[in-house]
Amino acid sequence: MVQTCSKCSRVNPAEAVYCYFDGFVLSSGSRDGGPVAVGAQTFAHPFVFPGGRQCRSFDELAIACQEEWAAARDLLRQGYLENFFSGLGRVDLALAAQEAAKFPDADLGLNQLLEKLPTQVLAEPHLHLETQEINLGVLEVGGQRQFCLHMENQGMRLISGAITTVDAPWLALGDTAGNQKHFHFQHELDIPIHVRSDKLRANNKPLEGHLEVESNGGCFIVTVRAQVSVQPFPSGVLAGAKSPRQLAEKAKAHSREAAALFESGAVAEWYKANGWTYPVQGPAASGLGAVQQFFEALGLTAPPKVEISTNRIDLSGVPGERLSYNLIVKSQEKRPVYAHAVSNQPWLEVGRAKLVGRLATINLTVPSVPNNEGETLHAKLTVQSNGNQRFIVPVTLQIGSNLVFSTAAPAAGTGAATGAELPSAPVLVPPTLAIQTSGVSRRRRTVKQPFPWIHLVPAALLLLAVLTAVIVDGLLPPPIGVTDKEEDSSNAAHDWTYVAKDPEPRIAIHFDPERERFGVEMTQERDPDNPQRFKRLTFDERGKSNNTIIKIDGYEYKFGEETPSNVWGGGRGGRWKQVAITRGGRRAWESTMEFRTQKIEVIQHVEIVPGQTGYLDTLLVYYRLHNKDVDKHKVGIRVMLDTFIGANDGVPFTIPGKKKFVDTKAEFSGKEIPDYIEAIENPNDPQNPGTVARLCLRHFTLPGINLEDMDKLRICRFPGNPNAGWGDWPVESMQPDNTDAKKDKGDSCVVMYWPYKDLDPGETRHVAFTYGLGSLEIGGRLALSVPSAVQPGSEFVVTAYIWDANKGDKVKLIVPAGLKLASGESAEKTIEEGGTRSQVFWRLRSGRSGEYTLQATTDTDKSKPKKVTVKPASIFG
Amino acid sequence: MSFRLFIYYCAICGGWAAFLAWGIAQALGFRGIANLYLRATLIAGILGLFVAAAVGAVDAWLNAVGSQRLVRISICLGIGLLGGMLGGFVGEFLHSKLRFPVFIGWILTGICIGASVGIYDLLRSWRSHGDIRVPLKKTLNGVYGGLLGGFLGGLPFGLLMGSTAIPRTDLAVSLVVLGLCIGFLIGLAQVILKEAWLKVIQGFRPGRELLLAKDETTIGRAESCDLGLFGDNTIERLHARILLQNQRYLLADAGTPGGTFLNEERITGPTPLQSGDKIRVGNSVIEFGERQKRK
Repeated sequence: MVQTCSKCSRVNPAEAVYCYFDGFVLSSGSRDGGPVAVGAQTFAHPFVFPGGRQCRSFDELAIACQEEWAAARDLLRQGYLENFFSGLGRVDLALAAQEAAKFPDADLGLNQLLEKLPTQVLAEPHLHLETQEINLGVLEVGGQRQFCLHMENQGMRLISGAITTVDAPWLALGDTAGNQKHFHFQHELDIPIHVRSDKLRANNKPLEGHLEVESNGGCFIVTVRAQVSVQPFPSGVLAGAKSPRQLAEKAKAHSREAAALFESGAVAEWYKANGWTYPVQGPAASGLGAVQQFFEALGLTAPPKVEISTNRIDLSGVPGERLSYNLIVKSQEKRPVYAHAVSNQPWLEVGRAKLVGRLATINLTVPSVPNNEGETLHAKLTVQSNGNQRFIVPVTLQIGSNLVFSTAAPAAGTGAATGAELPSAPVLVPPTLAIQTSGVSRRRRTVKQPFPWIHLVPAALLLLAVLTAVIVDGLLPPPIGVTDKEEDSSNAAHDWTYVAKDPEPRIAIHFDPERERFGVEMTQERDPDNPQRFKRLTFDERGKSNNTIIKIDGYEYKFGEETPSNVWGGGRGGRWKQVAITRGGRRAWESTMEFRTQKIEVIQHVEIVPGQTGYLDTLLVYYRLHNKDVDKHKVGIRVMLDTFIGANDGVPFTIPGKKKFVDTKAEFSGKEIPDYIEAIENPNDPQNPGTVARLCLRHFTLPGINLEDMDKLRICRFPGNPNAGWGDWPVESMQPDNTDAKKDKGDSCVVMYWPYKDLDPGETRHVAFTYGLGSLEIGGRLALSVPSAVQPGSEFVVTAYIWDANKGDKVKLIVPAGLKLASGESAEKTIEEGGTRSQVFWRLRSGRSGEYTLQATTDTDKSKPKKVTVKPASIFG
Repeated sequence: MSFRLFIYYCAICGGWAAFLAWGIAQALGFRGIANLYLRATLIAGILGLFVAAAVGAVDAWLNAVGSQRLVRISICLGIGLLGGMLGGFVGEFLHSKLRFPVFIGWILTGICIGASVGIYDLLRSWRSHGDIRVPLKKTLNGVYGGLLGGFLGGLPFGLLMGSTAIPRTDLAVSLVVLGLCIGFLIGLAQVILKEAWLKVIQGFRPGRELLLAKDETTIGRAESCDLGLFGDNTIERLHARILLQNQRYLLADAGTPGGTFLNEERITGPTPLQSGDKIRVGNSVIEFGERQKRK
């Protein structure tokens, strides 16, 4: 009866004690004779190793294989073991050896064969690990680290298995840096394990990972721990931040300063240094947009909805041509938009997005159309924008045609697109092929770039801004102080009227045509030195040695001298130097100067008017100073008159109220300034005194005009320079210089100053003086000089000239009713110093209007009666 | 930005800056100051400040990157203010006392504004002990432009000022004309008298041009490079340098794996450049230009 092996279920002959196939003790054998130590049974002939070791049993063979593993492995591969087992009649073992020899790994094959040998001498393999917990200590992101796991076989045969990393992507096994590694070894093995620095993530908690070891010698789990410290943010307002949240809080608190750190990439570097993934994809935005970009990426701020200008781009061009296209990503929300794009084809290059507010412009370029004529190339452009909104834009390039850009309306982004609102209707422009059938040449149309009108915007805006300002300025009413030209022309001086005894003037005015200076000469008397000429009252008949200085804000201007900022004005629609006023037989001339820098207008009015005698023998000089500016200016005026009578350039002056003549120099200020001064051509000849020139300085009025009092009067030598300034010249005696007495007969001048003071916006000041002929009627040796007219109730001076008087002689003034002596004055005066010509004066106070006759007497002489008119009117009657 | 746009924006920004200066002078009541010296000094000072800052900003936009732009503008701002005040004061003195034309003062102001554009480069080269010849040339070019601009812009100044038809804006028109002229001529002088320049033929923003006004000009993908070629991944962050040594411009690679090519030949060391040379870094091509050949 056959026996069936309880282990392998194979059939064995009835007499078999052991299974022919696996050597297991068959049931009958155990009953009758018990188990036989097959392994110890001697072979019919020994198995000899190449080294001479003889094996007489399975036990010895197994031990020999264990100890001479390499030789056994080779014998197995070479089939010696298979043959030996066949010779023993152990077909089962022979088949096992045959299979083991074919095993890909010879070690594993031998190990498998040893498992099947009928012997008990080989113990089971037993895996032993040196440690099951590894602490790597402190690791740094970016640092290199490696360690080994030591395994040992405390049993026999071969240990085979696999080691796997679990929850530890930062660990890599072996040299292949994988997460699983198979192994087998006989005695011991060190498995190298690398720490993947790029996978390390800084964290306040220690990192923990596991290595799972599974083998035929046992299974283990090894725990690996490490500490990766967080590097705080190194500098700036974000310094000290140890987590993205802390960084975000600091950035929120100091957004402007933090923006520079985001923009410069410092924050991205910090993320990288800690092994964290920077949430912002693509290049950083600029300014505060960079902070917003970060917040949006972190999910702290909702990103704006963005839309893309097109959802498809079709390009066409000829080989070698350069193509360019601007893709625009924008948002309707008032927040910065940023974007970047990536192309999946080398022929399509993507420029860095130009971020301007709600607009991000991405420049796409095909540097050179590939030489694939007739083909259509396809590319995919991935655009990523705020909050990682993504759009995928297909781009086609048709080669072999002229360039046409066609765009289609944008469609929703794919993938993680957030549903940005996009226009719907695509507009497709089919590319136009321009391939010539002749093939000789290809007509190549250049890319017509649109004119960059955008650059004209700032220029247009500037022009618009200036024009708007000018137009508004023109439409607005003039600022305070700026009066209309029409108003200027309605000068009160234009309406003056007067009555003269004779319409023929006794003096003439001549203007210097270049500078509007004026000179005076008599019309009925000849120059004693040159009968061909008329007698002059100024040194130069055209007044070239006179000048008028206008002082404005510390700077001096000569009236009549034109400069870029000091021009002639006053004309209606044009400009002229002078306008003549002839209405009513008047002889007046007006010249207007505009000092444009300060907007001060000065009008010089010169007119021949009736003087003391009632004839047209006096020159009225009147200046009108007007501030047209919106700001006040400090303005003063000074007139220098180079006096001259007949042939005498150094005439002395008589000053009412002064005991002596002024024949050297004198200066008066404020109330000291007399009402008038006189110059007599022949002061020492009572029979023929000659021409009397009178300069009226104060206490006369002009109709409708409030004249301002003079500030200072200077009588001195003419400074020699007709362009002398306000006062920057030495004040010298008018008398001749002793060193050159023969040539120099003296040279007098009168300089009149009106106050240099603030002229408010819109304010007008009026100053005037007269210069003309006076009358001196001499009775015997006595003559009286009185003002031509005095104001009612005012004080005035009467001067008596006495020729050939002696010291102590008495002169008495006969004061009519209506006039009275001023306080402290007596009618009789004593001549204090005798001489060819002496003078005494009285201060009188006028009463009511009317004509009064004054007369002076001495013991021997009586002056001719002299009329003085008391009236409120002006020199014009 | 091309050179034409550079000149254009110098002029426009100068005009805008002058208009702004007028607005501020008007708002602060500078025109109402009685003292002519003080008034001229303040108005010209504020004009110099704004125009110099504006022209400096355009120059910085073309020739600088990052925070360097702010430093440049700040320097222009300070020099412009001082120059404007000096020009205003001296001009007023010469005009009032010696009857010099008005434009004399504006010439001084223009000179200072023009000089301010190159002062940063000059200081940088001086501090780094580099070659100051080129930045000095740039400064002088600015001076020439400012001088001409002050002259041309100052010529109509006296004519426009004092108009009673536009009593408030006569100064605005005058200053804007002045600012336009100064800005335009400074930009024009920089371009016409330029020594050497780069032009992007192919790459990021083709057509833009860069004046070489330093002893070292960097080319690369990084923001900090003088010539940034962004978006080209074949270009390193710092790819190449153009060096000025012994009055010659040399092209040097910054140790990049892809290399730098001069006229399609890879350079192995600092290589002299000649006008018209094509420099290729990555996929970008730059043309080097020089006004005259150096011996």
